[in-house]
Amino acid sequence: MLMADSSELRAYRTKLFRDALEMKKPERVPHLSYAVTWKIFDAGHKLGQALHDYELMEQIVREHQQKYQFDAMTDYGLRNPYRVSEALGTSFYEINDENDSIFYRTDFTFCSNEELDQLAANPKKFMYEVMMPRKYPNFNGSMPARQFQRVVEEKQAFAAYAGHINQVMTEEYGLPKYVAPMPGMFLACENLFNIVRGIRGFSMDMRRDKGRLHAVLDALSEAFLTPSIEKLLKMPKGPNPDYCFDGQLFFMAHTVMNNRQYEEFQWPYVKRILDAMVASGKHIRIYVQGRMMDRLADYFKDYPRGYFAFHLEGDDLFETRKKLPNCALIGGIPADLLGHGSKKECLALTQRLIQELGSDGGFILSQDKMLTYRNDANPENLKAICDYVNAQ
Amino acid sequence: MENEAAQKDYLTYPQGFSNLAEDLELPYESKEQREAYLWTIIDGLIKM
Repeated sequence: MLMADSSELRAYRTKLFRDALEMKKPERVPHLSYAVTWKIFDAGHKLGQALHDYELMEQIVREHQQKYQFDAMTDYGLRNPYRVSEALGTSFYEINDENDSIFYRTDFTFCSNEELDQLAANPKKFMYEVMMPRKYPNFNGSMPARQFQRVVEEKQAFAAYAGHINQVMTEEYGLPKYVAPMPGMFLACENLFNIVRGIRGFSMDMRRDKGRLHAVLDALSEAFLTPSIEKLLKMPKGPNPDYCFDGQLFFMAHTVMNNRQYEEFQWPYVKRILDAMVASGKHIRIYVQGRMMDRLADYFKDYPRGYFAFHLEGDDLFETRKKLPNCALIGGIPADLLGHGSKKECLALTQRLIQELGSDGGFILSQDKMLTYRNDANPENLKAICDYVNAQ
Repeated sequence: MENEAAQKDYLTYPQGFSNLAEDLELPYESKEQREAYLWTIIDGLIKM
């Protein structure tokens, strides 16, 4: 489609997303890039260099869009601000440029089971006094302010890059703004699962220490979720049409919960957020790791149509559409197929997804997970899909 | 924000946190804004 300028193209693309999200028939199905570090390999660079050099990262992000012409990108090289944490002397990411790998250390817990009472008593105090020194050994009694000043400077450099790249991609490439400013929605289970207790610790707490786990979930939610919901409900009501989405959430902790545990530990807090989103008229993207909708879809089926778009990693989108006709779906293209399938297979699946899920709205084509490693996508397969979508 | 400041307590909450927010060069003037900005950095470092 020929556009006079980037602002017209941006408005066109934003409307594609908004129509799909609100379950209206869009002019065509929008295509969302979920490429993160894969972009670096595709542009012929190494992780270690690109993740520390904002000028190089800008070049990589530009190349990604020039080559594939997506309708929006989830990441402009902003996902992992390595330089900020490294200014304090520690990184939890291990980058290996010899085999192009990047790993996050998960063999760590920042709070023992015995310390849950302490965490519940004052979450901010515990985070500051106990978790920070554990994660960053240089954050200790002899730390001079000038060492932390380096963190501040890196934070400011990162923010400057973020502002610049957002402006470049919006004004030069006609890409829509991705997620509107909104108070961060804190899910206590996700926080414990991903950061504070780790997968093993959180799983053990659910089985052996329910009382203390409930106390921690309530304390964390009171400290970090309640204020965000209060702010959200004071914001102007309705969607922000300048952005693809009004907000986003990530569901991961359900992967270690059975249905009873989900009902008991996770759902009460998820419900608070979803109810507040509906009350404030906000439309959000929810990324779902692993599988969820094969057993937990009923929780979402009675919400009004067009508020939530589930980006599904492991669930079958065709089956989920039958269970949740009120929710938009995002994804559909498995990284495994992109990386190892044929161009013909990729195009056949794309065609089917668009015809069966997108013809009347409610579908955004994307990859099923963050494209991270070199083999997460064959560039020729991805290009073929992009060309097909853009020719619609 | 030099040697003298290094002797201060920075590691307790809330007093050390307030000391750190006071001693750093931050892009805000008021105590409330400086502490809110510092907390976003601390929160980000923990989540990173």
